[in-house]
Amino acid sequence: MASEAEQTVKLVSSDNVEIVTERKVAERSMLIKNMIEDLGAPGEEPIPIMNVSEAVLRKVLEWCTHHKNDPAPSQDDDADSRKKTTDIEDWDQKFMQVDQEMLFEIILAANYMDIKALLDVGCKTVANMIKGKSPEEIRKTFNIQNDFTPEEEDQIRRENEWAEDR
Amino acid sequence: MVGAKRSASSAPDRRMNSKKPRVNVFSSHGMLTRGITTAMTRNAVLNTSELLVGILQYLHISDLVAFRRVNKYFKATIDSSPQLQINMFLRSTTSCKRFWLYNHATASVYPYVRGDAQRYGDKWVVGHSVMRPSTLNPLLFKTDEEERRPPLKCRARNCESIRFTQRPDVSRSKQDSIFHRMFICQPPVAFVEFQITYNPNKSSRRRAIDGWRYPDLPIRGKVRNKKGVTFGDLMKKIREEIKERTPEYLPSSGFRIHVSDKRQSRLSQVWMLGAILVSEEEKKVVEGDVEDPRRVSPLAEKMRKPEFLRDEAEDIKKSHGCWSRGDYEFAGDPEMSEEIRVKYEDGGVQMDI
Repeated sequence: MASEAEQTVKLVSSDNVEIVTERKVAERSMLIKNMIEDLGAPGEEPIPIMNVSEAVLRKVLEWCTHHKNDPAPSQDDDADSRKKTTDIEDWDQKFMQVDQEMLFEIILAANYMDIKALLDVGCKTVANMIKGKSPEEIRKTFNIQNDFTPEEEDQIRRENEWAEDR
Repeated sequence: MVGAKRSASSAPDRRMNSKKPRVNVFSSHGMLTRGITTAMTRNAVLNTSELLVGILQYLHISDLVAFRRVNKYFKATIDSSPQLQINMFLRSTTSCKRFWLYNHATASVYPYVRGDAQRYGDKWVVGHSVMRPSTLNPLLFKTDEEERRPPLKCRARNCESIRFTQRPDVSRSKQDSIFHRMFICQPPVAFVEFQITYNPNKSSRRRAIDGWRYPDLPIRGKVRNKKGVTFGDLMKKIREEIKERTPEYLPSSGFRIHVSDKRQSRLSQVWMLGAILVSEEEKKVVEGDVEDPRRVSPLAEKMRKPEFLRDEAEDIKKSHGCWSRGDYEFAGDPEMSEEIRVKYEDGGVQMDI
């Protein structure tokens, strides 16, 4: 039997394409890791990744390959210092230079496949896109309908004031 | 370096803008266009509240306040997420269980280790000020610019004075503002002192009809809230003080509170007793230090006496205009502060001057 480092697993995308990858790479995904543990014999049975198309799955695996040797995140990571920074490391930043659809696809896939670090990078990328913008710009960027009545919006505007009018 | 980082992080913005015409859900033909699939994917993310929170958690508090106005779903998500409420200073943080001590004899700052008060006894406790590392609510208040701020040790000894970012409106009309529910720092403090300079003339340029200009009036006050002092508590107290001092100015909101960009002691300042405002780097410096700085010289031992502290307290009061760390109540976290406070009271040292 092959040593753990050389083991491969077969993944099947939602559009039925089989992708063979290193077990270590695939196990960045907690979903796959748990499945491999449940299935027992890795490599033989293909693992269906039901909600992720081939293009997205390949992209996700590209990220997993680059990050396969990252240390596992510690549980007691200091929550408040980690949350505040939107810095993204250079490689991840380049990796995330994709169109809006792929960006959101990656976030959905990372969420579904349970890859915490990739989900964080995706969320930070979107946060960087919208920070400092006005509510109007956010609506325009994401094509969001304003469902407040003028009175409701006025009320929220009032709630958002505390200083003297200049 | 910073500039380069910035331009790299804003790259996605530009790309997205150039693609904007493609995000068009209302296409004239019925085929599933790229715009529609993009919209579907995007909605799948934005309409999952945990993913929306995942994105919003990285935003500055000013964005969170503003984005409550995007639509009902954004508002409901921001108003109901515990994490975002903490980030907006609307809910007290639960993660911060640490206190720092300032040793008056050795002028050093170190974290309090649970049980130290019992281990080292009353004398040891008396030689210290207790404070909690905190983050200032950046929407409401600011400290001096980084280069002008006193070093960490000075801020540990004397409570730092902070200033309003804008001129606050204490009139009744702004009382339903979301800011009024915000804590002024995180984790919150239970005790705040303020000194406000105000004038009944709303505009400093406009003079009263008879040509007489009202003088600026200073008031001082203290605000206490066991659950943590909010901006609303502070505004209410300021209003009460003004009413007491100059009842003729109220109920009109025609007076202004003087706020300065530069550090000027005669203008409005606020002290958050029990908090030390520190950066993440400073937190690392203090909490990463493994050396035990508690050993003190015989001279230092003598200086730890309560009499010495009282004298020093007087000095601080004179030079600083505000007794800094006389209060050992901490908001929100009673079981942690209990240990230290009880020791103080048992030791018969009443620090509240």
